Amino acid sequence: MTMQQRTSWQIQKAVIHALLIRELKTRFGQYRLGIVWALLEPLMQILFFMAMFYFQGRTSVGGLDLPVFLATGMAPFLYFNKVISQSMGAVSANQNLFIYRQVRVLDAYLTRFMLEAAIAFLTLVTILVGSWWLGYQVVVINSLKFLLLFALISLFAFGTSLVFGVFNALYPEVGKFIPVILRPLFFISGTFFTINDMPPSLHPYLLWNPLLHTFELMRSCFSAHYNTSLVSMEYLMICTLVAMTLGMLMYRANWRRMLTR
Amino acid sequence: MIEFNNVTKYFPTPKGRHYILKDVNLTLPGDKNIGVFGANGSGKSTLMNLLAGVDQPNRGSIRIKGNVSWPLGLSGYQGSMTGRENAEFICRVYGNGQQEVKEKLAFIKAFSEIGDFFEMPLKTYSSGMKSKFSFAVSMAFDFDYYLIDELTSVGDKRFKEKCQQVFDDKKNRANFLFVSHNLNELKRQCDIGIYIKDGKIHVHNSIDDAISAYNAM
Repeated sequence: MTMQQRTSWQIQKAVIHALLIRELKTRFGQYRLGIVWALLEPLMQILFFMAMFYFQGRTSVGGLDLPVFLATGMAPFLYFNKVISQSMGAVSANQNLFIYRQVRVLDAYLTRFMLEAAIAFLTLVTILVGSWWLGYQVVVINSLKFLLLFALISLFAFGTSLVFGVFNALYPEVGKFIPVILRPLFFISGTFFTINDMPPSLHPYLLWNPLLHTFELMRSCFSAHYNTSLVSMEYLMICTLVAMTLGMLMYRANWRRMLTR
Repeated sequence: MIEFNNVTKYFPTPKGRHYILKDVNLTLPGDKNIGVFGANGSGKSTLMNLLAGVDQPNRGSIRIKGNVSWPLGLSGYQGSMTGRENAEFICRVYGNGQQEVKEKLAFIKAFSEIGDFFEMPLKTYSSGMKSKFSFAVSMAFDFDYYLIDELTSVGDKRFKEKCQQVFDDKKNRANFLFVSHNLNELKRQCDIGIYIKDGKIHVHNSIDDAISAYNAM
């Protein structure tokens, strides 16, 4: 008796399904409030910065109410960070599962990324709906553009996470520095400011950062008057393409070495 | 049938490459049970991983007709998950339908004789229970080749007899490749014997010849 032949796609689907359930069990198994924790971190940051803005006497930035302005920066930034930090441990956490030939290293990365993407999307929508419910002005001008931007930041995060993840799996001692290098990004990515308020002399430097482009463009989905003359969707797309290409190439060149570490 | 075409496998070390296999060309028959032995570190587990597709040769290729199991041993399980969850995970990886999963879980629970521990995290198992559980999981799936890595020294006499029965039953439609330090065990289970030495795989067409040739070295 033999097992029936499956296509590669069927196998990968089955493996990712199995890994997802395992990941959910190990991540959220002990505390049923796991998903609430995922919401709590961006909420705390948003509340903190809302208080700062409030003391400055500002209630809106660029025509957006504070919660919307901050949520479109904080939540996707945390998402980006989380995808990267999760990818760092993806190989070591699944090492003993690579004994099944169907389970590939990429599946481990993909599973963690998909879970983060789902959590981040839910978080963002929950915060926006919550703000609207509390009486803030939340108007979705362009929902498709918002979805496109979410997809782009997801792919950008995934590509970058592959680059760092592969690097970390091969050189763990160097990989320890990656989170340290990434931390200052929070202060230059436009999570709590808009590029339009920054002195023009800083623009050429800040605008290298694709995350800043993402957040500014996301904000423009909620206000027809949000100034996006400095940022560019094309630049974000090119960065995403570069990150994905680099990530896939690094993975492709090294996945065999990662299996038997 | 297992075909090795120019297979070379080495591990990089600070003092250069450590070769496990060097330009190995051979064909192993598809209707024989094969015993693999050799000193610790001679490459038995590496050979298993290569056959299971977990590891890849540095050069050359290995072709196997039929379904090959994963290296059946005590690894590949997750301590924080229960026996049932571990078994379910493997069923999902192998794409079993709901009915199949149900049957397999029932088989594993009954065969392993671990009772309520089936619903407990694997890390709470004693080593005996873990072996029984691993053995039951391994036998729940149908393969053409079973790669068995030191799995058989399990349990008491009665359990051993039960294991032997499953083996005999499976041997009618599948083949086994055993890695073991227990030469008597290999003698009982296998038709032909191979061992790895100096980057080559030595094949003997009877397990007794293989063992005496190995001992003579």
